[in-house]
Amino acid sequence: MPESGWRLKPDAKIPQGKDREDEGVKTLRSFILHVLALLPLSFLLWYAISDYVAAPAYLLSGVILNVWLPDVVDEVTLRNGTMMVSTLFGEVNGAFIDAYIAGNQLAYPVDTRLQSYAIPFYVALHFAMRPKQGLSRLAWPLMILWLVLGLGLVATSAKNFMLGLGTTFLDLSAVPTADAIALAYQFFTIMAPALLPVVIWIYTFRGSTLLSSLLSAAANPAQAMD
Amino acid sequence: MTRFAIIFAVLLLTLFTVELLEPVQRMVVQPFTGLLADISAALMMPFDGYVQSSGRIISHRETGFAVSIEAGCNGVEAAIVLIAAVLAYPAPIAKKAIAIGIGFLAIQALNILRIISLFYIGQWNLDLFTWTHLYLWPVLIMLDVLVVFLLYLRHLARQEVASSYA
Repeated sequence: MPESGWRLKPDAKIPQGKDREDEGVKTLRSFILHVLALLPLSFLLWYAISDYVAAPAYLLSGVILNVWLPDVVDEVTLRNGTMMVSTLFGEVNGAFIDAYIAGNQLAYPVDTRLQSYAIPFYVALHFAMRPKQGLSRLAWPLMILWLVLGLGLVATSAKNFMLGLGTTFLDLSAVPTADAIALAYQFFTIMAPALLPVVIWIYTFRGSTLLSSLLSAAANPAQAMD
Repeated sequence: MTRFAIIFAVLLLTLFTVELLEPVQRMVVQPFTGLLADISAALMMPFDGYVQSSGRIISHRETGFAVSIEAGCNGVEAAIVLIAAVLAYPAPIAKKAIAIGIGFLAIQALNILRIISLFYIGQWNLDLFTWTHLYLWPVLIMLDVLVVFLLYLRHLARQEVASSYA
């Protein structure tokens, strides 16, 4: 590859030859067919138990919101896939005042499924490889997914506060600029839930026959012809 | 792999931020989204004379149902992921350009299928529309990106094998 000036060298951390993980799926076509077969199953299961799937991310986001914005957030609850973030504010004649004085309380719903669909997507990618010890190897990818999805729920809540409470929220010292909140929200809702499973899948299965044959073809020419 | 990951992440965040800038949205993304709506409507019109498009909105004159193609639904973010991945992976410039061109067309072809399918699913069942729009189609579009990128890697691998035996 002379035009690029550099080439991807076989990574020392990628198992090669007989040390390579012997995954069940070795060809791209087989992998794609397995993913397409598993996606409906994983999505149906996810939709049926979406509160449980979202629970770790919801708990994490609740802790972050309460620690980050103790003067804004009152309570965070989860029901039927919707995380409800109750604030300490109420509204009277367009002014945001203490909820107790206002006699009402502002709360903002967050659809956790907009984040948590990343999990059935990853599960389909994961088991499409038919990995050995598939369930135990699912643990750390789920941890990372829940961590990022939790941040996504925080970013969505911050966007809701920004649009709902306006300067009452944005003027707080702990709150970043409106542009930063908008960027974080866009990234965590549009990009992260769909992209993150793919990134984690590539990292998790970089030593598989399928991926290592593609990623380090120069070192393993025979495998590249699968 | 580490170098690829770093370049990919930097390119991804840079392109994503640039895409959100107001001038880029006004001069590139929104006109492109309008074009997508026009193409989608043009594909439907021979089979359904009630379909019309205006800007980013596709509507049905008989049922009154309309969809507006918004950020996240125009395939631009998916294209950004593919562009970042292809640029980050070591290969000749010409191959990168061809991969981005073909990949962009593959993403947009599936995206137009998404728009058309959602337009009719929405007229049939709004709950199913919400489900497929918000949860299922984003996954299928990203799967499309992954498949295009893996096919590109396989093409590069085969070229590498061919050149090693030449």
